[in-house]
Amino acid sequence: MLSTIQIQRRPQTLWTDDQLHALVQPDRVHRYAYVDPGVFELEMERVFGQAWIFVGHESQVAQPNDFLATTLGSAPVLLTRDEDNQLHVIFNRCAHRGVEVCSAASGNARLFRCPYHGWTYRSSGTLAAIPQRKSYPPDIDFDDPQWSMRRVPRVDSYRGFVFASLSAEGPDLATYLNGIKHSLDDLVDRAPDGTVSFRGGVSRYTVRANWKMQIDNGVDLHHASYAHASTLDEDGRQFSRHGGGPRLLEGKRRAIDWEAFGVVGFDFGHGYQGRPPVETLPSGPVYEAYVASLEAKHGKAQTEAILKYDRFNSVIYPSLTFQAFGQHIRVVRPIAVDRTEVSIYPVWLDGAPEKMNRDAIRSIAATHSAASLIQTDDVEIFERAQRGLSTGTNEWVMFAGHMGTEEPWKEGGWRGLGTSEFVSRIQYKHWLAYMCEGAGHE
Amino acid sequence: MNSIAAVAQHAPELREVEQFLYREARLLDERRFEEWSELFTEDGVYWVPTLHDQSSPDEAVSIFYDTRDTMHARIKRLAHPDVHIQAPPSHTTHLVTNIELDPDPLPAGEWRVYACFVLAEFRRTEPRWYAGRYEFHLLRQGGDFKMRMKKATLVDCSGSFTAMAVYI
Repeated sequence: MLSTIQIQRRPQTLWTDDQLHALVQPDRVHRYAYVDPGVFELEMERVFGQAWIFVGHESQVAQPNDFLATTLGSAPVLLTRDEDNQLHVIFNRCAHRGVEVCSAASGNARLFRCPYHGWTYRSSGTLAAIPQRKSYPPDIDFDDPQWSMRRVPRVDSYRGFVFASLSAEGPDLATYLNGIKHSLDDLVDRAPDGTVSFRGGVSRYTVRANWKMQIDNGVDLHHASYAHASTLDEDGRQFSRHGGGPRLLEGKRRAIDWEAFGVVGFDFGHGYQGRPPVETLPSGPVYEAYVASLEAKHGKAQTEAILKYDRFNSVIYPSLTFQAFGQHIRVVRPIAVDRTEVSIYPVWLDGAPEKMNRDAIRSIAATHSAASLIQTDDVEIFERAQRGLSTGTNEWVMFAGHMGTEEPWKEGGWRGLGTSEFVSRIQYKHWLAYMCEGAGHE
Repeated sequence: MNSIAAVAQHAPELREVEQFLYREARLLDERRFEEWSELFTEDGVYWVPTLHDQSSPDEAVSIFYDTRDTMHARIKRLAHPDVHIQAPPSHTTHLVTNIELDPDPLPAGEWRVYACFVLAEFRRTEPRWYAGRYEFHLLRQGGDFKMRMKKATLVDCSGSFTAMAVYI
């Protein structure tokens, strides 16, 4: 009965494929990509509705019936582990009247009961019980998935990082991640036990700007000399992060030559920044104990390879930006065309000295929290960009840095000079492929 | 006279504590950050946690966790010509209220003071409001106090915040 009724989607967008194509030129992107609410709505449907989006880490739902409330695009979802240890991402919505079933941020529950009329679901999302079953027509098949908390079509994980796609079709997660998966390896391999956990809480900041500002920034190396000038001492060295601050200026004003550090980009818009010149690597007894525990497991040569620091910040398009060396990940969640929420999770390296992990939790307040000494500069600049782009005096956002000079690189990627903007150009190429109707994604 | 009574005799007057907290708030509002930082002991910390009743800055991330060293870096940055998040600078008013002095000193001899706050901040176009509870650990030094800890737990500490540049 009800299941056979097909409703057409709401009225289609006013944006035609031709108009969308015009927004992305080889060396520039139209400001509408950042400020137009209709474009944003389409992005939620076609970028966040198709790509693999990070939803959580397996350690956040470690036990059977653990759950974590999060969002996928604009949809409230639950990441759950069912009684058989299977992970699911289910929409946090009752099949009856659409009420958000679970209001807790996380926890353990064998059953979820809707507070409105008591419809009850298992941790896998399937319907467990309906009060007043007899009041509904007898021909309704309540075993049909439409009467469950429906599952997101595709869920998969890589080394504990769980991603989901709202689209039943498209490349699988491994194909999607391609070479950027090595940035996740770079993070997880640093754990002596070979696994990481999210157990240091979360800090969130809100940016009154479009989500792509944060994603563009994650692969932009050379903004640091200018945007973060106030964090530099008289020598041009940034105050200490983990193990010594990178030198971002030569003397008082002259930007260092970024080109040698490079940026690397991959299909589907992922990429990473090469390592800025950190002069002091970590040292001291805690770090030595950490290295010893890695060496005990992997031997000296392999440990050296693991601890090699050649990538600074990595971006998994369109939802994740993270640092292996900085031991944290940031989840980018678009709220509106001019509003974005970013959640920072410190990453616990299982088997590493407790003090080292605790220090990583503590350092977030200095580097990336809403009040941190570094991130606040970026946030201010994203908001100024959003204001600047709100007027039509100049229609374009320019990404022409080192056009056409990137070269094939290992792991299936390309590498450009440090001030190249080619990773953003890759991002917009894939953005356009998602955004155009029916184009799908190769 | 036993030792507890001896300590109790030295309990500060609430009025002295209030005057100290008002001065502490005024130094922030007047952007006299350097002088404000001098109100802390050498091992003093300024802390804004992300959890209600957070017991340690290592248990979960914090919004602020400034030792004197971090404080020094932050305050130096606030005076830098390129501190974008303070161009234009914030104007603030800290309202400090519901001040309560715990009559029993902490084991290290500090006096615990509870208070509530409302902070109004104005930078560019819209005022912003913060509210929450303070916990101070005060040490008597000379005729004055030094803060070993100032903890500001925002009522929405686990929420999401636009960038914060100045102390709560």
